[in-house]
Amino acid sequence: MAVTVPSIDKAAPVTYPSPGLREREVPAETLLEARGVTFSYPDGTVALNSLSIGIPRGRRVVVLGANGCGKSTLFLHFGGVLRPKSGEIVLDGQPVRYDRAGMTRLRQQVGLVFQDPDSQLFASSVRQDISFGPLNLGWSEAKVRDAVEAAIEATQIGDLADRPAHLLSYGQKKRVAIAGVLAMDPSVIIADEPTAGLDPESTARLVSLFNSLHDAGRTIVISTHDVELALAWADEVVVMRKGELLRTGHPTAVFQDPEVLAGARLQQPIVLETFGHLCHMGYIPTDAVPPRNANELAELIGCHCSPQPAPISTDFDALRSGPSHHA
Amino acid sequence: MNPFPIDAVAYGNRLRSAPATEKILFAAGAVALCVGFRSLAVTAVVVTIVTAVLRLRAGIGLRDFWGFLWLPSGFILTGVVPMAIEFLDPQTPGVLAAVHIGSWHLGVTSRGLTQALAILASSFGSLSGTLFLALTTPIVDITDQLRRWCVPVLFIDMMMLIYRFTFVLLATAGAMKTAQEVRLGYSTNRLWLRSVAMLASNLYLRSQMRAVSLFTALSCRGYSGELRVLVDRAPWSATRVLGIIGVHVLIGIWGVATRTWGWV
Ligand SMILES: Nc1ncnc2c1ncn2[C@@H]1O[C@H](COP(=O)(O)OP(=O)(O)OP(=O)(O)O)[C@@H](O)[C@H]1O
Ligand SMILES: [Mg+2]
Repeated sequence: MAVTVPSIDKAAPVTYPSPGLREREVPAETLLEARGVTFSYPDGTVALNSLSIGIPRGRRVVVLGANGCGKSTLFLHFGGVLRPKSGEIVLDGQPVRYDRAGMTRLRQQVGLVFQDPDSQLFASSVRQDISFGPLNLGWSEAKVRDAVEAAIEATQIGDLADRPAHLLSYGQKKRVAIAGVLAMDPSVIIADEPTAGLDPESTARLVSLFNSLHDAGRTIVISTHDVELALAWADEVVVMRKGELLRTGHPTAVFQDPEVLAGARLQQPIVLETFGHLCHMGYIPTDAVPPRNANELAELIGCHCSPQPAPISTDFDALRSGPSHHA
Repeated sequence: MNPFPIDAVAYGNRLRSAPATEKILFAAGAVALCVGFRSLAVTAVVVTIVTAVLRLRAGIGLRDFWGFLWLPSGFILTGVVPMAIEFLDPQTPGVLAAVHIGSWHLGVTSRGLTQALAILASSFGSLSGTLFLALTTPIVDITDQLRRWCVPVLFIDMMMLIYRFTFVLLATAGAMKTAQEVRLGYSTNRLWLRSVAMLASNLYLRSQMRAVSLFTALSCRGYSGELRVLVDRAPWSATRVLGIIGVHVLIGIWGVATRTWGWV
């Protein structure tokens, strides 16, 4: 079987297979929602423009978009730090009220983790810092102690608990910052670029921490510029552009939508790009479920392309006669 | 990297985990004795004991201790020496030594010398007592202890924030200085001045932004005007506390005795 390898023409429109639907479960109820939110900063920059986004309960959501598209601004709205100029933030079906009771409710439910851990850690020791949030909820001391220890255990920072923040590494500070909001027992944890500046191992550790929090029933929302991570990890991807929602959906669907990729100037994940080429070249059927990481891609290749001995000559006839001929 | 050697020692010494109550008691007693007696003899005993405890219990050698002590000691000396030397009338009694410059008489009287030595004794003694605490006890433990003693929260909050953000600010300033340095910002005296001015004003703006983002982040965790954090109960041993008090009382009795009956 002579294989003709079509040239990979980037300019030619490539039709991608339809998105895999296997991880689409029953639609979840919406936990946190922005309804037609418009916001401009005091200097006139319009950061959000009648943006409507729903965060389904129990999902892992990744928010993507170019620098300055309004991800951090959106997160600050979810955390009740910024107030929409128009539109509203809705928690559990109820519009958020900006009085003391409303804020207490929002901040207990929504744990916001900032990109720069130094802006969040204030206390002189890790354990003290983590105890700050739960104490503000008016819990009893015993309950606070339990919550603090549980958060320390979940984020695996037991060995750091009595250290001051300035003796921690950047990655450790990030974990402490997460522990600080986790101790308040929020239903959703929203982290702004949690993996930025982390080495691959710390990133993997952080992702598995998020997974364990997700397994415990929490909703996780992160923003990132790491498309491979978004593809591999997210249940749902939200793509923003210039303060507006461009697209939301399953990662493989979103990352195969050329309009979205061009519109948000997103790089297609290498796994999907390779998958696209392989489909286009006929190695993989176009209706195959798109892979979400290198392993799944390798599996696909393993399923559809049988291994061949490495060609020692370009004489295809000789190759075809193969070992059986000599046996 | 810890830019403050004292902070590094406080976290790394062998008395780090000893109860802060005991260390504060020991240091406070030492300071009280030195300030109370203003006597060189008492100070000498106290400093010897402090040095011994640092060496034997905390593992901080004489050389390291002196390394931290010499700079503030220099300040004390430069303050004390002019105090001993005064302008004199020719009739002043008890002049130990004097020089005459024209119609000026500059000299040391026994009263002035006694006074200067008393101040030297009390300030040097309290310095070593305070340094003992600083070298063995991280600020965290001290603020914890103050909280337990119901010191006003505003005071403790300020202490905690200043401590924390000293490091943040220092790291920021360091990074900014490096960034200026690699672009030759400090290559000539003129540039040096310009760069330092830029650094200082930028650092001020940065601190402002830091304060705003800290407030934002704290609000998200329910901040409502008070930085409440959990404090662990500190276990302390009655025998050690009694031992510390005992040593101090003994020094006190000895001090009173030397003063009353003039034993030295
Ligand atoms: N404090 C502020 N004052 C004025 N404008 C601001 C302020 N913060 C952000 N902006 C502007 O609002 C817009 C959205 O910013 P935002 O920080 O939300 O973007 P982002 O998506 O988080 O970007 P990045 O990926 O770089 O973090 C940008 O145009 C930005 O310049
Ligand atoms: Mg941002």
